[in-house]
Amino acid sequence: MIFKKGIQKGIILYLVVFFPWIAQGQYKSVEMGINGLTCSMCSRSVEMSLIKLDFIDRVVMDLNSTSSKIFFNEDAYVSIDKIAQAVVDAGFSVSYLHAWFDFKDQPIHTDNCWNYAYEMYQFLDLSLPRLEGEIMLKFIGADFLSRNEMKKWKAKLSEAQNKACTQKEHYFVTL
Amino acid sequence: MKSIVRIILFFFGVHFAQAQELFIHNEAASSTPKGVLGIRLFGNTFNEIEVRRNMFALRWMYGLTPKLSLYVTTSFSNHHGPNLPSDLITHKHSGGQTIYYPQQSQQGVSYPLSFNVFHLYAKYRFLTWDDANEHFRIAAFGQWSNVSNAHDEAEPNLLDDTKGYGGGLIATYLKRRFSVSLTTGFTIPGDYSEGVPLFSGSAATTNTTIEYGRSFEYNLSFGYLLYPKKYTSYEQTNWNVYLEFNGKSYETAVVSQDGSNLEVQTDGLTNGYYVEIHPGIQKVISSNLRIDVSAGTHLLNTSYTRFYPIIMLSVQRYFYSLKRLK
Repeated sequence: MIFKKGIQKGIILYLVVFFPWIAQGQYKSVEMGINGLTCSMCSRSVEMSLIKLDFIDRVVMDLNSTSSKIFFNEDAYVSIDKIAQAVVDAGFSVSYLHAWFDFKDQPIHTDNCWNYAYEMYQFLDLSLPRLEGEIMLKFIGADFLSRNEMKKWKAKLSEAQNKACTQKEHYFVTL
Repeated sequence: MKSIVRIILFFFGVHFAQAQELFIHNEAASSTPKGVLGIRLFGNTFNEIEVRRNMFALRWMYGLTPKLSLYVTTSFSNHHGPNLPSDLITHKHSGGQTIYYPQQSQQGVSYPLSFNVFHLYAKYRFLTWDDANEHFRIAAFGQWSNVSNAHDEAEPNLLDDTKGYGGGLIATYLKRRFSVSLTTGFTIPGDYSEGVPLFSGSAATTNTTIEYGRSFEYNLSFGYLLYPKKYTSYEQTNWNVYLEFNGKSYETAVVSQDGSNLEVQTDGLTNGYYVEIHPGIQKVISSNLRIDVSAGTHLLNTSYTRFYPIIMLSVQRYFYSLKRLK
């Protein structure tokens, strides 16, 4: 099972790296709030953990508001999960994660489920607007929200999970 | 919990911005970041009568997972000689019987610096409540040491005196400029055996064993960020002040000769408890290099393993891996 998953991920990475246009659009940047941060030494640990990810071009940390702005390498495959995990690896938690995605000039019409780089995105809003140009996606889930914020989304999230898109592993987002 | 902290904050009369939990004496519940190597050089010094006692230690710290940190420490000290004092056991005659018993050890005896093998420490953070500029965390820790010095005090110190193991819990609360952390733990020491003169002045030696007392530790640390008032860059020098209270209670040691227990009456070998106070200051350069200094004394009773004031110095730096991950 693990072996099969590995092959699947390998194929996805291969396709994304060598055929980036398959992705139909791309991530431009991420703004992320980090909870538990209280010192510049801690902020530095988060930045060093993020910058290790090879698809990240640069990280700008705001030491006072304990948020960070992340910019990506051109046409790189961006893993939102790995960004959130890098914060956890440094010993802290994500309080919000907003990603700017450029849908370019190809509007997407879907039924609340959207596939990017072979990863499924499920919109929590009942009526999905037209996805066109640069749009901010707000990630919903325990890995992307503070405990208090997560409580507000709990009911909506479990309702959405009952009407989940076909793939098991996917992101829940809202606009 | 929050109301207790608010009361403490009220008495400190502080304004908030950012906080520090990089305690000088005690570990916070937070972990070493995953994949990061930390190196810490530290030591302490105090005057024992006419002799300067020193301890130098090198600690390697590594974040094995986001929640699990491992430390390996080796140290050198001139706290003890290579053997137990030759006059450790004395005797008296009572009703035709000879009673052997350990006497108070001599103080101010000069010893060479000796290597204190290894001390291992693991800390696992199992509760994390993070909020904006605030967190509350609890971690469990375990420690083990094969340091086995010839010391004749009941109090065990795994880092640089006694072999054995221990464990405990750390709870740390931090809000903006202020941090508070409580560490409670226990130590189960091993024993030390050596052939020493049957009694002071005797040519005959006998196998003498000291089973050190089990101990319970209770340490409370406060930290406060003095400077900067507002962060603008990683290059700003940070100044933090700390006030740490270290407490310990321990059992009476069991001293035996060839398996027969001797009567223990001396202060250093009988049970006791104490609380020390260690105010300290810390400079953090470029958000990485830590330089700490503290000066401590006893507040309630005393430890028989050291004299006061005791000065502690340490320097610590993190080394981040530059390897890019896919």
